[in-house]
Amino acid sequence: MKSFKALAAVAIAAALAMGSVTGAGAAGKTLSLGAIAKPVSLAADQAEYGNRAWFYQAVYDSLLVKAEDGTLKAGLATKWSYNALQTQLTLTIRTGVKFTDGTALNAAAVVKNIIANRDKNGPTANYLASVKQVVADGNNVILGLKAADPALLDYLANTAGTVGAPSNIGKASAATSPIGSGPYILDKAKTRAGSKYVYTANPNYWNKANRKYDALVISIYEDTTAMTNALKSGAIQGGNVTTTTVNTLKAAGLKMASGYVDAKGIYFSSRSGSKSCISDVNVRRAINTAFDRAAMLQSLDNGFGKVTTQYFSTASKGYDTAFDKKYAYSIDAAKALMAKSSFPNGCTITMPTFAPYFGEAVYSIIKAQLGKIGVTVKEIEETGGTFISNILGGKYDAYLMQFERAGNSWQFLNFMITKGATFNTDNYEEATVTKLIADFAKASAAKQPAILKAINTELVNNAWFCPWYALQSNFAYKGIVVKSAQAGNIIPFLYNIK
Amino acid sequence: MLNFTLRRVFNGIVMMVAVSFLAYFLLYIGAGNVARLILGLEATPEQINELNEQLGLNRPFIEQFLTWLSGAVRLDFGASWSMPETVNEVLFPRLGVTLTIVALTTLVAAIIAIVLGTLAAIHGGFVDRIVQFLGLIGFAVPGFLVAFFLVTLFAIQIPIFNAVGYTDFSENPSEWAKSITLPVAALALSALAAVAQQVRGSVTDAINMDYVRTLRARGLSFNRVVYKHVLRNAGGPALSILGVQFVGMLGGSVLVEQIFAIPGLGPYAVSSTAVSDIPAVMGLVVVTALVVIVVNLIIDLLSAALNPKVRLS
Repeated sequence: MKSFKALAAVAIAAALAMGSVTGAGAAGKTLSLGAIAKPVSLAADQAEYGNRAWFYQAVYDSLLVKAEDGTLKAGLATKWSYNALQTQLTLTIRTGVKFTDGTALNAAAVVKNIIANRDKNGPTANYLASVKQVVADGNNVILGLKAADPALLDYLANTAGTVGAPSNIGKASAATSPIGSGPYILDKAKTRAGSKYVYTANPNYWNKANRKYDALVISIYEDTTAMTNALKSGAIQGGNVTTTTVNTLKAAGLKMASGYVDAKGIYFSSRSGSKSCISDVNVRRAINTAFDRAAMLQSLDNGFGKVTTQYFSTASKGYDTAFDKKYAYSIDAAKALMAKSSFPNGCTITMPTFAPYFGEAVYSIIKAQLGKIGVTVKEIEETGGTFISNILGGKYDAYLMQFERAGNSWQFLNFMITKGATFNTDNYEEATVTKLIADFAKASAAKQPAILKAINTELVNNAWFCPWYALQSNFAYKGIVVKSAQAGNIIPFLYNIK
Repeated sequence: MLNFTLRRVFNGIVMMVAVSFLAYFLLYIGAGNVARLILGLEATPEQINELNEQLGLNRPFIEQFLTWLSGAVRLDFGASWSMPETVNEVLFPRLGVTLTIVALTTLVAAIIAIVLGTLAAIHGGFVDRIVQFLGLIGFAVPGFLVAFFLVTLFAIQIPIFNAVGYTDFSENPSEWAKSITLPVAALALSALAAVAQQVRGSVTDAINMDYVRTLRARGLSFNRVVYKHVLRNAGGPALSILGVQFVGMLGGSVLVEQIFAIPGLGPYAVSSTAVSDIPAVMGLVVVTALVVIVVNLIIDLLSAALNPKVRLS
């Protein structure tokens, strides 16, 4: 027994020693991060932000970059300015930058990239739809726009401004062999597609002062347990985690950079015409009043979020704290609103269910709460492959969704509000809102916040949506410096991780 | 033997074509709007149409299937829809990882199970009770729960092994051992329990047969009778169970690989299915079916080699 105890003690001591060695390695000159999604393509013109942002920010530079709070900063473009009509944007391109294939960055290279980002049917294409022409003028790049686009600079600080080596544009190999001017170079020999992406330092990087690590490893953890264990064991220094694991990880000594990017709630898609009771503003207001948002946040998402009745995020200039509490929970008040509507005896709405993503419980709550005010929910079960396309096809009156709330208000307006916006599926319009949006597009930066607030007021008062709460996003980290959550993105941008 | 092998190969080919057609059909009708899944929420209808055109999704089902089949017969599964690499570039390295884990698990489970099962049958008592208890635990506790327990204890609380990831043997043998031990242990328990129970039962039956008494009467030692004759007779059923376990572990490894973030077929199957990456899923279906057919064939041939009384029919 004595020898067994001695053996056990030696084994544990050895194990602990191994652990400390592992920890020291992770905190050295290699930055090890965990991502929940693998890249679809590594080509510059297929760049994505969200959970996939790091794969592109590792290799490519962007024309503009963003501080943690969303403030725009110089990237490959050192200066930028609009003409008076805001239909022409001039970017001054940084000199002395080289791509890792040895070619130099210049205005012509940027032009080629912007055209590819717009025309190659990638995730960035939509963001550059307003760009009519792009030309090089000496060291400047001039973008001529079809109409004023208040979001363009923000897009250029995201994926639309991604710049890769011109020699690689359009090549099939660009999807797996990216060439940029960014801080790192993909080490294809050590990379295991879909599970681990290994990067080495770019020896000729122009901004070495901002690169704190000699190497970068991004591992893919599509499973929550794997991500949690990787963080707890020190295999990685940071990763996006679910709310269910936050407390466990905090207890294990990890810090959290938390933001409020996604808004969960019911979204309406039959506001136009009269085929559905959703077209009645009082029905929409009644639905907004029929949910106890605080209780739902607690029961569905463990309290990790902020109750709200507006869609604008705190990162938007249109955000108004008053609209976080516009529709207080009251079944009596909701019934009164129904009585005032054109459907005093109630109505039936069709909604999709997608339990694999949202769970069963939330649909039971929706059905029960709306049932209390006389709105019967006819549920249709959807699969992952058909859920979005059927919503976009206008099959439903309303749907449960967790939408990302872009800090960029123009992006939000064009995604959800304007006639023709992707998720304004029935092309609903209100004259006041349409006019305010037109004013916003032309307004100076100083006047835009007031217009956005006016738009927000209209949207909330007329119950365009029924958001319940903004979900808390959590980036868990240890051994690295993360100033705060990234405004408008689910994970911190790579260049903001120190 | 040759006739049997050729017949099984032919049956295998027919089965592969049938499985492929069925799988492709089911994926086709259940895939939904693949282009939307790939391009995301903000893609315009024009972008969606363009991608559908690029992927050939606007063509009739049978045309799509035949195009796929013409590549698949050459083991070329085409381009993945959710990754920049081709299906082959991702699938085969991952197949190697999964087969390594499953084969190692089978080997470990077989060795321990044969030893424990034989000892339990011969000596009974404490060893027998351990085998019975193992059987109970192995059947009752799913592999992923064992994985949770093992990773918490041996990778996080006492960090002896790796909690996540996989290192190739050629890259670093000791890291390979640290990365593979816990997944193998998690998968081995249920296989070990099943095979040990089978060996115990088969040895118990065989040991009471007349030929054992006859051999003993002829003066052969008990150990020689057991290891040369009894185990050989008892090996057939155990081998069949081992084959079943091997195939079962291919499925069971999905969860275990997810938990340990092992770059095997499991996570690839989950992520490809989630985005309706039909070429990837079809590659997985074909390769998995092929492995199952080959393993079953090998088990049949081994059973015959082990016991000539087994007729290959």
